[in-house]
Parts: sequence; structure tokens; C-alpha cells
Amino acid sequence: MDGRRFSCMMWALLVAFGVALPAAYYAWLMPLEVGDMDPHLFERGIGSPLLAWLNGYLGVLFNYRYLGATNWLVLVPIGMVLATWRRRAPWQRGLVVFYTAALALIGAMGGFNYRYALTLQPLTVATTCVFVWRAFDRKGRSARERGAFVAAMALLGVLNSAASIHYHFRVASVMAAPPPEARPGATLTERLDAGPEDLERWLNAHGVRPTDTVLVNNLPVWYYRTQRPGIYFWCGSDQLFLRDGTHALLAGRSMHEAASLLRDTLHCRYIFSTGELSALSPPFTRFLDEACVPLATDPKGHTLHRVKDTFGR
Amino acid sequence: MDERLHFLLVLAITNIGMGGVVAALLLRWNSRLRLPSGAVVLLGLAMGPFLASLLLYHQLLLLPGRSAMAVLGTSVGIVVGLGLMAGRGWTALGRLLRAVPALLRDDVWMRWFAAGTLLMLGIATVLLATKPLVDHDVLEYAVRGRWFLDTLEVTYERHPFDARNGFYYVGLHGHSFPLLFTWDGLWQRFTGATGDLWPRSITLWYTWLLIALVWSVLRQWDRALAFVGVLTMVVPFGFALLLVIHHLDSYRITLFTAMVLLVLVLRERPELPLMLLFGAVLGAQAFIHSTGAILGGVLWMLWLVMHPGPLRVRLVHAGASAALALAFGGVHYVLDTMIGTRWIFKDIIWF
Repeated sequence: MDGRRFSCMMWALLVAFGVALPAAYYAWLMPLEVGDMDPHLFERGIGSPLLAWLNGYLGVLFNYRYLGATNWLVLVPIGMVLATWRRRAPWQRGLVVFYTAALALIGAMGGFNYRYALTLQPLTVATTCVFVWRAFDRKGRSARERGAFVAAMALLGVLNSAASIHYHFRVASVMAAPPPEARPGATLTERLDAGPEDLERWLNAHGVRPTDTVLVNNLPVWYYRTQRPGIYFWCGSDQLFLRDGTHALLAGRSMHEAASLLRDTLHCRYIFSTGELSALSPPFTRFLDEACVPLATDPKGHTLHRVKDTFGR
Repeated sequence: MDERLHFLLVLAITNIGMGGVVAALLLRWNSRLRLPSGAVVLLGLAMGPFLASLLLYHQLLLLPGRSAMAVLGTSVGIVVGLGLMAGRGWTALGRLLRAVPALLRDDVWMRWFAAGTLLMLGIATVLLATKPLVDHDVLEYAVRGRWFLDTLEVTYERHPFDARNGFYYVGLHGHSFPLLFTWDGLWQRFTGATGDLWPRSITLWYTWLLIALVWSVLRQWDRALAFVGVLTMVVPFGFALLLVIHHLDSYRITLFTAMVLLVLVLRERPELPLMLLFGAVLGAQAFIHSTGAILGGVLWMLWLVMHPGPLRVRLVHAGASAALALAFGGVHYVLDTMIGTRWIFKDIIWF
């Protein structure tokens, strides 16, 4: 393949990856509704095998929703080092091994979590920028061409962010009950403050005494804003976190038995959660529907339930 | 004391004062390190709040149950001692600060950076006024930090369960971030203030430092490239969320990035002083988050494989950097694995 043809092919690939893939990602690949996906996986953006690769294992490079549109460009210098491995200096090989190992570790251990994927963002961006800069220099391109390319990178990033924000609004628009921070017309404070307002007063108003033990579904705000006793619980993994470790609440128990465990053994009669968190576990939602009485829901979506007594009241 | 005054006091003491002490120390030793002065100052500022958490960690672990006054007094005493050690580093720091106005006057791209800094300051003001501590992970760290504050001791146990309120700490990572809440709480005992403005500001402080670090690196190639590179880094939606969620991410990513950059310098000059600094930064970023501990370990091993020196030099460098990494917080993971929760070897729960 002659140099000119190779160059054309590379440009075509750049356009395909830089523009076509993000366009397809937002237009078709990313679902707006949970459908028949696992709610956990939908929430994390990894509800299908393809999405598990794009947003999960290779999230550092292709999770367009949260990361840049040009992170994948770092694959070019990595590929070049790999293709000329023997001729490369040990430090270049070492860095490629490190970056690849980091990519694999982050991808395997939580690439779907954009915060983990962001770990490599400064290095990815800096490496890509320096590589492009030097590549243009080596090819004898003008400063204008070089500047145009990196400016296009930045512009693509801006457009990608706009598409990402638009996608988040589209998801919220089809939600039956969008969280308060995603509701149309919400103020900045409402969007940023998803926490309960005056938790103590709200609990007192609904009859929860300061000494009542409450099952806290993964809401550490309970311990931060009150001095009240709680039992830490996460419905997503059905685990009670007790003095001697974790125990299941619902697995292997009927609704009646689970209610009895809470009420009679753990001396806990109330459950503090949010509709959004509870919905992540259909068995827990069923438990709330069948074995508990809803007491209150605050404007931010926090819910308070009372476990029914032995007479089902 | 008013909450905002308390915030400014802790910000001045920790971010500026302690960060300045580390920067001055590094500048004093920079004849051996031979690093760009600007990057050294940024690294020093990044190590300021970290140093506060490290001093607390060692005290609460080795001398548990002392009074708040004793703990805070010891920390301040050590920092003052380090400040005295910095000696002529202060002169160098002063010289650098005096050069800033000229830099802003002569370099249009630096004025862009200054404009970005002002924008960050505006964002920080709005966020600190409107965004309370509401997100899951940071609340876990905050409650853990308050627990440390109440007991003034760091202990390792299989199940970190607080019998007083039923809280169970599910966090996997080093204690640096929770201890920043403890640090703020210790000062609150003296000022009488309440609130959490300072721990909430940490994300914003380190985001600015991260931007400045990447800017200073790319600036070595080209000033316009620094602008475009930083713009590319900050525009993704995830980076914007990094700003509005009061989390430890910018804290850990700044020190992680600094660690990798140090390896790039080490490849040119595999010298002991640089290796010691690498070990310290490795330990620091590990003490913040498990990702840093794992990736730092991988990088440490790779560097020893890549090291161009003879075996004896490699062993000396490996031992010295490992010792510093452990002293700068890496020891947490050893203790947690051996006598604590078993770290990543336990059944990890994704929240």
C-alpha cells in the first residue's frame, strides 16, 4: 500500500470513528428506556453485550456519554509502538504495557463507572495531543494544519458533550417518574440538591421516634444528618450490614419471614429508601408492597415505610 | 465562628499554608530533583491537604485516643518544623510568585488560563453555595471521617461497624479522604463552626490543580496546544460531573497523573532523589483510592523492570521507593488486608 493510499485510509477511519460512531451511539445504540434489560445494567449503560464493551470494558475510550469523543485516538500511538515493538525503547514499551494494563484493570473492575474511567483521562488527552502534534511535525505539515486538527478534536469534544446532555434530557423525558433533579423546569438548587430537606422534622412528623431503629437502604445521608439508629442495607445485593458481617434479608425467606426478621429479631419497624433505589430490586419492591405500609414520600423522592405487624396491619 | 470564615481559615492553613510548605521543601531540594519549578509548586500544593490526612492517620493509628488539642498541635508542630526545614525554598517560591504578573502580562495564553481560573472560582462559589453533601460515596467518607473524629483512633477490624448508630463502613479505599473530614472537624472544635464547606471544596481545588498540571505539561510543547488539550480534557460531561459531585476523584486523579509524569522524568534520569519523590507520590495517591494502589503497584513493578541501572541500584531504588510509598499511606492496604476487612480480597459489593 503506498503512503498516499494509507494516509487516505487513516483519514477515513478517523472520520468514521470520530463522527460516525458517536452519531450511531446516541441515535441508536444507547437505549432511552430500560425495556427488558436488567435495571442495574441499564442504569450503568451496559445493558447489552455491545454496550458492555463500549461503556464498560472499553469505557475509557468509547464511553461517549461521559468521556471525550477522541479518547480512542490514543490507540494509534499504542498500535504504532506495538507494531514496532522491537525497535522501541524500554520506557516506551513499559508505558504501553502500563496503559494497557490500566485500561484492562479499569475496564474489568468498573469501567462502566465513568469516575473510574476518568482516571486515565488526563494522560489519554495529553498523550493524544502530544502524539498528534509531533506526528504533524514529522510529516512536515504546516502549523495551520496542525492547529486545525487539534481544534477539530476540541470541537468534536464540545459537540459530543452537547449530545450527551441532550441524551440525558431525552432519557428523563420518557421516564414515568423522573428524579427531582431531572424534572423539566427544576432550578439549579433542585438539580444539585437531591438530599432530603430537614430529615429530622420529616421523621418526627411521621411518627418515627429518635430511638426507633430504621432500615436504611443505602442512604448514608441518614447517618450524616441524624444521630438516629439504623440498620444499613442495600437492596441491590440484598445485604444487611450487621456487627458480624452481611446477611440476606429476602433470599431464602418468605415476605412474612423477612418482615418477622426485621420486626422481631432486629427490632426495626421502619424503612428509609428512595423510589429510585428500591426499583433496582424487584424482590425488595415486592416486599415494600406486600409486607409494609407506605407512610410518606418527600419531594426529593425519599420514602418511608412501616413494616406491618403480625396481624398484617 | 461563622462557617464561611472557618472555611477560609482551614483553606488558608491547609491548602495554601501546608501546600506552600511542601512546595518550598521540594523547591529547596530541586537542585537534586531538577524538575520544572511550576510543576514542583503544583505538586506541593497538591500535597498540602494530603499531608494533613497523612499526619492524622499516623497519629490516630500509632497514638490513639489523645485529645483533639494534642492531635492538632502535633500536626501543626510537624508542619512548622517542615516549613523551617524548607529554608531557601521559600526564597525560590517567593521568586516564582513574583514572576506571575509578568507572565500574565506577556503571554496571552496564560491570560486564558487566568480567565479559566476565575471561571473555576465562580463555579466553586455557586457550587459551594448550592450543592450540599448528598451523594452516596462522599457521605460514606464523611460519616467515616466523623467516626474517626469521635474516637480519635484508626483501628482495623473485619467488620467496620459503629455500634452507636448501626453504621457499617463499606468503603474499600485508603483513609485519606475521610480523614480530611476529620481534619475539618478538629478545627471546628476550636472555631465552634459547623458545616462542611472545606471538605466540599476539595474536589474543586484538585480539579483546578489537575487542569494546571496538564496545562503546565502541554505548555512545554506549545502554548496553544495546552489550551486545546485542557479544553479537550474538561468538556466531557463526566468531567463536568466531577465538578458538581463532591467526591475524591479529582484528588486521586491529580496525584495519579503526577505519579505517571514522574516516571516519564525517571526514564531520563533514574536518580535516587527522583525515585524517593516517586515513592512518596505513589503512596499518596494510593492512600486516597484503591485504583491508585493497584495501578501504582503495577507502575512500580514495571519501572523496576524498565530501570536501566545495574541490579544493585535497582534494588536500592526499589527498597527506598517502596519504603516511602508505605510511609505515605501504602501501609494502610497492608494492614487492611492482614488484620482488617481484607481489602479487595473480600466480597466486593457494587453500589
